[in-house]
Amino acid sequence: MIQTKNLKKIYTTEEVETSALNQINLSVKEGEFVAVMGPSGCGKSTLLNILGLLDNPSEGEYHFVGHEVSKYSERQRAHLRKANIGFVFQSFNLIDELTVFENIELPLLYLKVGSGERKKKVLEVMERMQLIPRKNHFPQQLSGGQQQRVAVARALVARPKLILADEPTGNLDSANGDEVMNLLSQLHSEGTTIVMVTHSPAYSEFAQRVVHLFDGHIVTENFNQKFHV
Amino acid sequence: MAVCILLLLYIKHELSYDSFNKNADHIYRLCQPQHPFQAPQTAKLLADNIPEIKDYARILVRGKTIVQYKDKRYLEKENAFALADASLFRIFSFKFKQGDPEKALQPPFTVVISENLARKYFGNENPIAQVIKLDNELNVTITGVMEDMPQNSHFRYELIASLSDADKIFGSESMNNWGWQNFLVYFLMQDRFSQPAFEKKCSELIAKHKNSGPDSPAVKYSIQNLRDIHLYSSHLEGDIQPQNSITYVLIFSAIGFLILLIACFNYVNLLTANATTRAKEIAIRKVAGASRQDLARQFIGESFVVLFIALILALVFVAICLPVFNTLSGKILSFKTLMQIGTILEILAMLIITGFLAGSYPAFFLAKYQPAKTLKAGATTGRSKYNFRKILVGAQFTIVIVLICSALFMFNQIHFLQNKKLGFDRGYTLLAEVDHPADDVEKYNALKQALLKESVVKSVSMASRVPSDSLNNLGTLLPAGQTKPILLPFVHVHYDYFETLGITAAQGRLFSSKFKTDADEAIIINEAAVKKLELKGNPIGQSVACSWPKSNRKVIGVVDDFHFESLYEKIQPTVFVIDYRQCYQLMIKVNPSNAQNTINKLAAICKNFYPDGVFEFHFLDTKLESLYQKDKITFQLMGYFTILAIFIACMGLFGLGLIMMKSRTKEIGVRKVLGASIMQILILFAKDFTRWVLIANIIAWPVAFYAMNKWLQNFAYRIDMTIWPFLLSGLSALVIALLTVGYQGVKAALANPIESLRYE
Repeated sequence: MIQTKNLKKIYTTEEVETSALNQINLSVKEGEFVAVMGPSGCGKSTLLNILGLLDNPSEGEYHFVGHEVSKYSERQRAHLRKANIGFVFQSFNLIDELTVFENIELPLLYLKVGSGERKKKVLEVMERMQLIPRKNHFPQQLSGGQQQRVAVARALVARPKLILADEPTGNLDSANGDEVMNLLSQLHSEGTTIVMVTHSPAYSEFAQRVVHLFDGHIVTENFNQKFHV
Repeated sequence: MAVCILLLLYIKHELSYDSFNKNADHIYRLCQPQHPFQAPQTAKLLADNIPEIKDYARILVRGKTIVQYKDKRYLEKENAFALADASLFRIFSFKFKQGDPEKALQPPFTVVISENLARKYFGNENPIAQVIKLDNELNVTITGVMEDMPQNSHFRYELIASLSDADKIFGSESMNNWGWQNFLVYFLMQDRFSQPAFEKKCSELIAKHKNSGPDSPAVKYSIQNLRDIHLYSSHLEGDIQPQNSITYVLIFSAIGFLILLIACFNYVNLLTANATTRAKEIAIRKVAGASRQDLARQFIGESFVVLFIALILALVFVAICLPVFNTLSGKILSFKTLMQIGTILEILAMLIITGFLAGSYPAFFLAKYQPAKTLKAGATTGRSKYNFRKILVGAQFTIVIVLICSALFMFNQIHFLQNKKLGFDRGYTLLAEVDHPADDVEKYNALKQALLKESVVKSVSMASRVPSDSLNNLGTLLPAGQTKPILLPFVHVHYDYFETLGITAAQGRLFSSKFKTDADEAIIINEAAVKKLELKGNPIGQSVACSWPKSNRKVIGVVDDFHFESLYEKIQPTVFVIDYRQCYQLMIKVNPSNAQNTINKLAAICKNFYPDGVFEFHFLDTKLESLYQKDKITFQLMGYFTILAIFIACMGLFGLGLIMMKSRTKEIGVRKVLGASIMQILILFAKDFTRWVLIANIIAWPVAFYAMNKWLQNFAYRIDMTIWPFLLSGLSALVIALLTVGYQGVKAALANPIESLRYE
């Protein structure tokens, strides 16, 4: 599903060039759950942004579901992104002015799904995430765990092939963190491809493979034994 | 604020009319229902019989005047010369440079002139005791020099001659003629009296003495206080000089208030919108022990500092703009007015009200923040967050739409007035006044022939009234077979009057010198007069008894109704008769050519015939346009202020848009990540503002409709209230809103979403 070849990302500020990613060769198969780990500033989020088609690499190739997308325009990327990728952020990134229902509905709106169909899909995913009682609440009225459940629901509602999660448990206490990881795990078992950035070694255990980044390089790749028994 | 100060100056000036008179509260002008002019003997009759009258003064208004000193001649404009009773300077407080105000006009054949004229006529010579000749016939001695009458006086004469011995000037017959209604009458009244009872007494006394036939309707007299004359005389025709109307003063007050309100809204909006950035400061202050009151005080204090700086800038701005404003408004407002205690207090009051208006909401809104919440999670509070701000923006747009809509209506109406077909040919008609002896018709005929020899001249005539004049020469007609004489306006004309105005006969024929009887036995009436006289069958050939001149005449022609007076007035039934003695306005229809050359040439020819005359030619269409000058100036000023209001509203909107975008950066980022296109983001924001502009329209339209409907009632002929100005104003408000926010919307929508999501 994902294959990168010598991927590079260089940030240029007035005089300094900073290399955020260097020679990244990574492939993720369909249905795989990959965790990306590494210290702050090692390039995890940059990698995730490129994988999520939010940003273009400076050099190298990126094949996503069979398309070479490294030179895609904003419009092309947006097109591919909204049909295939769901995002879960550390800080949830819910829209405060919209209710839980409206937040979850948003990706379907941009996919131009008809309103009946939309309602059906949103309610389905809400039920699954046990969010029905919170349907008309605003994000500020929910706990952190509940907010992240809404974010996951939003990432799921369009049934994307890939879910990118950027430290989804970073802002949560352990109980809520566990709940979110169980959710992701469950999604994975149902066949969704997941790439997750995390700081937590414990939660990286949920992934089949853990990629370690350091200073923009992939330093090690470990396969989780429990999935390979 | 500068605009408000300018408007304050303007409004103060308008409201200050005549208040410089010490007796202003006790001076009243006598009025008839339609005009303020009275017969010569009215004032004395009332003063002798009604004890409430302490003193009275009459002013006899004259037209343009030729003033001769030694061999120099000057033509003084209309409303510069009047004759008045000596008591005028006792009742009114006009300051004298030379001479004694109490006695100056007591001797007959004396005159008081203004400082301005004294300089003009005599230079450094002493004007006192000099003799000047007025209108080639009246020699008067100067007994006083008064300071130029103040700008805010409802009359501004420069030359006031004594009415003592008026019998000798006008003949005692005239001075006892109830029909000669040309005198303004001012009473100095007792401190306390009942106005309705007084007016009733006046009406009864005059009716009794006027000796009018039992058929003529009793005229209801009224009085108006001196201070009210300038702003409350719109119902009176042909007042001495064009007065303003309280409507316009109210319109300008409203505009000033609205502009200040918009500015306050902007301030409140930007302050509260920016609250998130200050929320932390507030929280920290609260943690450090500040109470809500402390914070509220701080914010109100801040708004006062801002206002004070604004005031200083505004004063500088006013000083710079005053000359331009004066040119636009036709007023002479002075910066010095600002230094008067009253004005300073008013501006301070404005400052304090504005300060509380603009400062209090943010103060209480911001001071309310809970420190714990603020420090923890930022200041977002859910969906209602923007509502108050949006309501303010909506209110601003309501104001802007009302202003645009009103401006469109005013523009249309003025355009309509200036372009409405008046029923006669207004172009290329030159007018000049001729001061001729009453019986020199032969000389006039010779002049006419001389003028017609010029290839540029098409036709020549004379009349007492030309279109744009007031139809205030009333006489009566009694159609044969009827018993009640009917009062109608008379226009005294000479041959070729209608031809010069391009008017043809609808029935019968026009006056012609070929018919010897036309001068003494014919009248022409308009269609409105046919109706008013209730002439049955064919009006042509019907006999009428005519009062002015007294004669029996036959209707020889009917002309279509045409707009003789301004379009403020309905077309009046009008009678046209040939009477050379009453005609003093020369009318010359010319071919298009170099105007100044033509005027010079024609003036020279006239001068050959009337060497004592001063001929100042002007065009009829210019005169017609001047009828709407007041509305035009008001419209222009309103236009400028509307643009300003829109500009201020846009500034606020721009700032608000900026802050809204800033606070919604995250939302835009999220939406983009979820697949929203730039267009979809723009539409999202446009929708937001569009909704509020639409609501603003719904509120603004009835307001504009009410205001404009009321304003249009002033005009007898007016445009229809169509929906277009409403739609156009709504649409332009929308376009303005979208353009203002659009720029920021595009900027925000184009930004890379990662930027906004990275540093949460």
